[in-house]
Amino acid sequence: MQKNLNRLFSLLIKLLTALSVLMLAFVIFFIVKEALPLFEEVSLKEFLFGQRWMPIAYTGETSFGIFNFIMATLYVSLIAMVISVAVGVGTALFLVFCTTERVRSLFLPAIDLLAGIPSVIYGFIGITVVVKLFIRAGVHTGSCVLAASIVLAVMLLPYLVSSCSETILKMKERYLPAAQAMGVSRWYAAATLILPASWKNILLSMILAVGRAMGETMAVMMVMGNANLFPRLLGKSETIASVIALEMGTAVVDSPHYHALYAAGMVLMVLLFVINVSINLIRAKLLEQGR
Amino acid sequence: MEKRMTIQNLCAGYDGKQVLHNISLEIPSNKITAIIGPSGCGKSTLLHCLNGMLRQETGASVSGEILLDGQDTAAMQEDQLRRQVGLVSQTPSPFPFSILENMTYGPRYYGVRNKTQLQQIAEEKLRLAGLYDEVKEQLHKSALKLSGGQQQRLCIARALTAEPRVLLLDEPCSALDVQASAVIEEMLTRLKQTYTIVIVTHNIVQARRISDYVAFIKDGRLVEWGEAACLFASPQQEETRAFLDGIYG
Repeated sequence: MQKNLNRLFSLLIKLLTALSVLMLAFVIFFIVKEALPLFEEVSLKEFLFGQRWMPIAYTGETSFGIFNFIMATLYVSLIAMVISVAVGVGTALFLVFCTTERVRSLFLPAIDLLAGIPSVIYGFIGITVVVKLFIRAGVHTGSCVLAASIVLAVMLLPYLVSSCSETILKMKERYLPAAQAMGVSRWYAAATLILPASWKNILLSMILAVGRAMGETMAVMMVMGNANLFPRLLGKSETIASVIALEMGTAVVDSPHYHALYAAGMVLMVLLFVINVSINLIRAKLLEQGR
Repeated sequence: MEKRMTIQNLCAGYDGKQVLHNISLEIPSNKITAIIGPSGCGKSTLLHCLNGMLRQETGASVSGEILLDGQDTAAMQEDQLRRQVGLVSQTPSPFPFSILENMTYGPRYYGVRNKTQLQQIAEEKLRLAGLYDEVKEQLHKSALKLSGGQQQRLCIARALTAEPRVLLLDEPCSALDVQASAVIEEMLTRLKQTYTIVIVTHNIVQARRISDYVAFIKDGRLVEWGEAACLFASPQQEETRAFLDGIYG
């Protein structure tokens, strides 16, 4: 009886595992299947490097080029990551070196709560606070890549802060006593010993954040202006995720427009995959050097 | 006997709980002083008092006087004191850099910039620790790749780069096998020509092998101290005799 139950249970687990793998496979299959028909009309090169996006033939000719969207996605994510890593590592350093265990146990959950705020709320605050600041600073409509990056950076913070402070705390406990025993000051040790020792794990938490950054739709869409322009720091632009979200509802099923949006989604997926794999490779290389 | 450190009426404790009671002890220079006693008796706390580390811990209280070459350590600047009185902890903690970078970390902080000079310091201290011949081909290899015993010797060599007058060792061999311990013991007896060494150990046999002076601490009180040969041969106190006979520990 017990044996049968065990077997049943293990079968159930296997089934559930298979299901989740199947789900991933199905998503990939579905997106690729819906994307491929586009390339009967447009060449891959035209699609990736074209800058004209005219999915409906108002002027007599359609064209599908997502170069600007790709660049905007990368650009806004990169800037958001830079801001977020700088602030996140700084916050983690502060929490580990300047506060007590008690304060940490109060602050970290509070920062984690940031992850629980719906992204539309972030977009809303982005419009009412960040965009207004940019208008006051003299940017035409206020909506711009930098504004979106700032909002996105705040959204990424919880992914970075808790794992960074965990790593830095561990490294501090491991190395600081030895450094201090040599008469080295805390902050010198933090900058030259503890941060370098933590860097590999910080890279790992960046993977999680990059995924979030590139896929984030709503908040970015609300503050970035959504114009098909090559991204500049203070200019409007549009990410791949925004294009899909904005246009999917109105695209005629099985039209080239519809397939183009799927193809854009596929490109986003591939981009993310490439970035994750390369961060992992860099990290593996660093770990190897560290050994 | 020339004194390097003098401890007078030292009391210390954490969070209102007193750990060390009224300890007075002298650390002779260029000798190995072993501090022995059952675990939890306050041996490590005593070490942390000597390099001023306990003083800065929150909730810790220290009273009494600790003199280093006649100078009151409480009046010295913390980092200066730490450079004079080096500490090597129980578990080896090489920094996650290359061997060379481990050895030059301290000197670079103290302001040595010249590459050949840094290299010289590293080589000299590694030689003192008896590690140089083993690692000279691989100074740029990560220190984490060394064996446990090598790591501990690297940490001792690293502590020496601060040019301390006193070297404190907190059970440096507790994580090592017999052979690696023997190498470290042999090295310590060599090092005492240049440095004053205080070693905390719960290994009586080890204390017997390497120490010139011994202090026996139990329950935070100094039971007795003196020359190793005398103390091991004929302990004056009943408690010491019992400990040496292995009744508790």
